[in-house]
Amino acid sequence: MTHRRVVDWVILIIILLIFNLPFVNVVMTSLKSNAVISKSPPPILFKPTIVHYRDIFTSPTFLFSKFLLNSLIIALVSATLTILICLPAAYSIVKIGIGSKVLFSFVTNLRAIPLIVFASSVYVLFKRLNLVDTRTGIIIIHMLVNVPIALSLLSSFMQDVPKEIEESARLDGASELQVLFRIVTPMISSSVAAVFILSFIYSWNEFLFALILSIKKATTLTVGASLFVTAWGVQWGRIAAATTLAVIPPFVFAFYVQKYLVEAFSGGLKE
Amino acid sequence: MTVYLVVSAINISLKEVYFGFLESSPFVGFKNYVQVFRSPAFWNAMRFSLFFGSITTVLELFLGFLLAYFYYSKFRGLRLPFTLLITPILMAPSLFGLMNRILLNNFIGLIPGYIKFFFGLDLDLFAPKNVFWTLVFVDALQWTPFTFLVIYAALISIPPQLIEAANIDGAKRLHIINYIVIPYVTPALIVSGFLRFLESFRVFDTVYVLTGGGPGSLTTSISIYIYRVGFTMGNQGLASAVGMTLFAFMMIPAFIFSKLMKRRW
Repeated sequence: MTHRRVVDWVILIIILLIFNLPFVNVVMTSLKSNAVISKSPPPILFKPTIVHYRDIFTSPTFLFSKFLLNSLIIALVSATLTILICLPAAYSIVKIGIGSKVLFSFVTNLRAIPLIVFASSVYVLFKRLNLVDTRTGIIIIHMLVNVPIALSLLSSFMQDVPKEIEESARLDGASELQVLFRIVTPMISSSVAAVFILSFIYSWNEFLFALILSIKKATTLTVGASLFVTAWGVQWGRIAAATTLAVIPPFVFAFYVQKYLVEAFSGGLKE
Repeated sequence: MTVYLVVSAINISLKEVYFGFLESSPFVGFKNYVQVFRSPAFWNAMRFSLFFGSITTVLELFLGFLLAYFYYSKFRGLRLPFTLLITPILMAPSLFGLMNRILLNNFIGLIPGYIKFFFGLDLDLFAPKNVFWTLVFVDALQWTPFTFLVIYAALISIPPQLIEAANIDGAKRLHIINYIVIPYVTPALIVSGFLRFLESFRVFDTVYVLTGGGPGSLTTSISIYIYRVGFTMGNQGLASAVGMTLFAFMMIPAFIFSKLMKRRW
């Protein structure tokens, strides 16, 4: 390695440290005992303890397990339903070839309009339907955001499936549903998985609607973790442990969806 | 569904609705809208959002470009550092905000702690004169990786022969950047810049967990303002009127944005 190469690596490592500092710090804080946390300046080397992780699961005033369960159910159900709705919808869009233009502008507009403008109307509507503070309510709202994006991603993936394969299946006597689920879906299965994961991550991370639509029963982890701050202002160790566990699920999937991130974050649009 | 929400939001904005009780609420016409336009708090929130959105967008585009160019010219194709670099994008903004609260607060924060240790400086990053820039810092920390990602994707689409040929012809690095790199990444800069502006204009999660819009209303973004009016004060009629006003304002960037995305670059 040349001298200049070493300098490049040092710069890169410093940059990586800066962007990951909040995460590294929160993991460290979660492993410190309360006595170590209150030391100034915060020690870099210390004897790790898992007491905070044990506490958030066992303490009766700290509803961490409940929040975790809510987040898991809401994210899994809304991502699954999104896929189940979008697969046939995308198939008919690609096959019949209409609606894609409308869908396209709808998706871009959805990106541009802040959803908070509908916060009050959603709240009033859900209150009338008795959906406030239920997991169903939050699932519906997350799907409202995820479906258009998933639909446009899936239709663009389906367009890449060669027409000849579908046609030969149809000649062999397969019904449309069989073509969709036996032929087309397996061919784009890795893309379907990616869309599922992206929907899951969005739902897991969503904060605004999870906040306004939950009171006690349906609180998700992102909202729950922020409640700990106001209610437990000084219990930094527990907040750190809860935050650490809450960011891990999206990480697990990160490698898998990396190449889809650009499209997903620009609203499912291929440039 | 979206159409329904718009209609219902307009309906609510014309009434005096408190705490979600629509049935018994009287029709008040444009009273809520008049109140919005007369309210200094609304204009303050708009000003904060515009200011915050513009500064973070410019900063993130600039840093994202530098980072993408650095990574492109020195570490192209390397997977692991790339993944580590874009991890902040995957974190919930609210949780990322919480992490920064732990990192930056006065009592146990690593950064103020070591600033005090090395320089003897008692720095309160959430004091009124610093809090805006603290929020800008947190936003840039989370979303520079996003502009990096988009710009880097554009950079690797440059045909390598183009740069080789320029090198053989003896082009200086500055010329290569000016005449090859910049034209190639301009679309990525525009699209990611627009996305960043739209997102950070409406910032909610990060501000909510870091400052709650305070101290006072110093960091009240337009989204925080709508939340405060609609849910802390429970005045859903007024909150919907603010929402619809914002909706009308956002039609302009939304229109430009959808035109931009349709254009073949």
